[in-house]
Amino acid sequence: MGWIDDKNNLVQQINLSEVLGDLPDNKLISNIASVKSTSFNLVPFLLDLMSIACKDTSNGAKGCLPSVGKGANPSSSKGAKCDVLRVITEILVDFFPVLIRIVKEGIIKGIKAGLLCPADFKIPSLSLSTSVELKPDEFDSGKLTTLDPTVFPASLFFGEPDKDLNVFLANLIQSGVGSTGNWKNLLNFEVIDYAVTSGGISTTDLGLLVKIDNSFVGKEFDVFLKDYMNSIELFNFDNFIPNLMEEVNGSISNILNNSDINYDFSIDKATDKEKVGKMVEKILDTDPCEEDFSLSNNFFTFNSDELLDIEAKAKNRLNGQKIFNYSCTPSVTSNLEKDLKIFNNSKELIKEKPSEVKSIIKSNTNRMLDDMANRIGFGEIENIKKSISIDLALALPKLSTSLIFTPKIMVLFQVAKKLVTNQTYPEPNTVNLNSVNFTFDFAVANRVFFEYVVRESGAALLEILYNQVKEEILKIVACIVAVLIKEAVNKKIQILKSLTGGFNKVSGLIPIKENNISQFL
Amino acid sequence: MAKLGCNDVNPNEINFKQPRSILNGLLSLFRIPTTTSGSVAPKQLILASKSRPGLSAKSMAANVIQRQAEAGLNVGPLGTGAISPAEIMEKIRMEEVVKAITTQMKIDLAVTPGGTSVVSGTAGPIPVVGNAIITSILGGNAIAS
Repeated sequence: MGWIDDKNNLVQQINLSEVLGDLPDNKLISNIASVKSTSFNLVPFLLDLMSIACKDTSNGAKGCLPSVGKGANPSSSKGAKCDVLRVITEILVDFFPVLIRIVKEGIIKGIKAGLLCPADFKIPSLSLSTSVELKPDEFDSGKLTTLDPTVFPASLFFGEPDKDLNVFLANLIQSGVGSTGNWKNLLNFEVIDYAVTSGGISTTDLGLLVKIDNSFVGKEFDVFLKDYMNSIELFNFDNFIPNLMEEVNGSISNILNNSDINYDFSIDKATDKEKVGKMVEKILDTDPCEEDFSLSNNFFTFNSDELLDIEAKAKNRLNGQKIFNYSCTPSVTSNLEKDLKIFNNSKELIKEKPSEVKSIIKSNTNRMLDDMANRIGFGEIENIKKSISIDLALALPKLSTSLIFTPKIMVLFQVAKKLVTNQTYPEPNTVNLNSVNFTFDFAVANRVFFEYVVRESGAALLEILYNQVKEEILKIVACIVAVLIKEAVNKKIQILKSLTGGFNKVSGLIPIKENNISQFL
Repeated sequence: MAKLGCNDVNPNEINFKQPRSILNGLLSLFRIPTTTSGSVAPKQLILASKSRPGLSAKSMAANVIQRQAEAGLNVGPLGTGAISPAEIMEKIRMEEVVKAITTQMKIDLAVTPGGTSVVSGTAGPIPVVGNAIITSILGGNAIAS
């Protein structure tokens, strides 16, 4: 069966329960865009499916899909529990630990696959292969370590000092040449002067000498990878939604660009970012298990239409804007500082009441979405919020992928590459390192690693969504089974009654009081 | 290029890197197990079915029209006083259904072996009567009315 047919069949199966449980809803399956889509990215489809299948008994409805039928509350076609906005917010907030766990595992798999390394070898004692000198762009093309992790809005990029390696490295590098540090007995760092030639002029920049801690000599590389990933905070929970917003519209970068802080987020860098985003979309739009699938150059080259789209999005990103297609008319929304300060201002509150962190983040997210939707100012607010929240969910794999370009993963990648191949990225005479196009070039040059991280990130989101949808579908199926059993029992009773009671010839046709149609019968 | 993630999990589990695996997983949730149902009624009661009147298209149409209200449809004449075409259509539909069942429906019978039968004959000059077990499957045809 075809891809679209399969999706259609699934929606029909769910709608069938309406017939079995109550009366059919006039839902036009063909109107669901994600069903008709030929893309293999199932995130939009699962979000739609969740919305269709969600069972909310709070509105007093009856039947297998209680949001329809006689008992449904006419003022609310879907209860609050089934609201897509709520579903997405809960997925982003409640399933954060699951997401982090799967993405961490994905990064480890990606490193092993990208380096064609089974990782069961033991780390040698030779200091040559266990230490690596990195130029600034080779571990921090985004200049994250030049920012002050304590000052808003840069603080939104960072996590807790004792958990986030990016904070550790920013503090270390800003302490100047010669500064040294040890990260949780895993890696030793030293800030070094690194000769850089730019425009024919030779200067020096702050580089990093990284060495695997001696305590890991003789231990399996796989153990090192796992211990390393367990030692770092992948995302800071408090800053997760702001970083998702940064992924959607470049909001944090835009505020930094417009501040006194020396942060050079140029149109070229914005284009680089959009190109990587497009590659993520292209990869997730495909099924890697199709017979004729190969990660060809088509994934890393763009036609003129794609380039125009990338250019337009890059310009918007530079301005901290995003066009939301919540209706036929695309709209731009931005009041970046206000959006992000909602989260920054609640950090103290979270410290005071750590047990309420989830509800605070959810409340902040809803407030931000409300503000953004109201700023657009026309159309149906709920639809605009839904559109923005779906964009946030779709940005999740891109955010996870962006993470690999930050120092905490780039350092690990470079150390692993040196250990396995005795080289770092870029290998000599292969790619001219250009900090502006670094992320795109890196993704192209390390496509297996990149594809793996993208697919694992997408799979993490899909797994969470799948389990949510499954829970709702099983409720429907349980309801259908109950209906079928009841029907079978009733049928048997009717048959037995008809056999024992006989046919009442006197009664004949049942008279219909409401309507006399006897002249037509 | 390697097929990334295609063989990562047990084939019986969902592979979240493979979109088709996810869809198949969701579709499999709708597979409702079926069990064989026993006999609908004791054989003696089934014999009573000969007193049934048979299908009536008019009676069925009347029952369906009466229940139209459950689907939120009006029962009765239109505002103009004319009979609703939908109700006339219901009568036509039922007539066609009954016509098809009574004139085209085919029922093939297969009687389960193991039943007993009285057999009689002679053993030389002596008449003999006895019981026999039917070992073959008996067939037959029936019509619905």
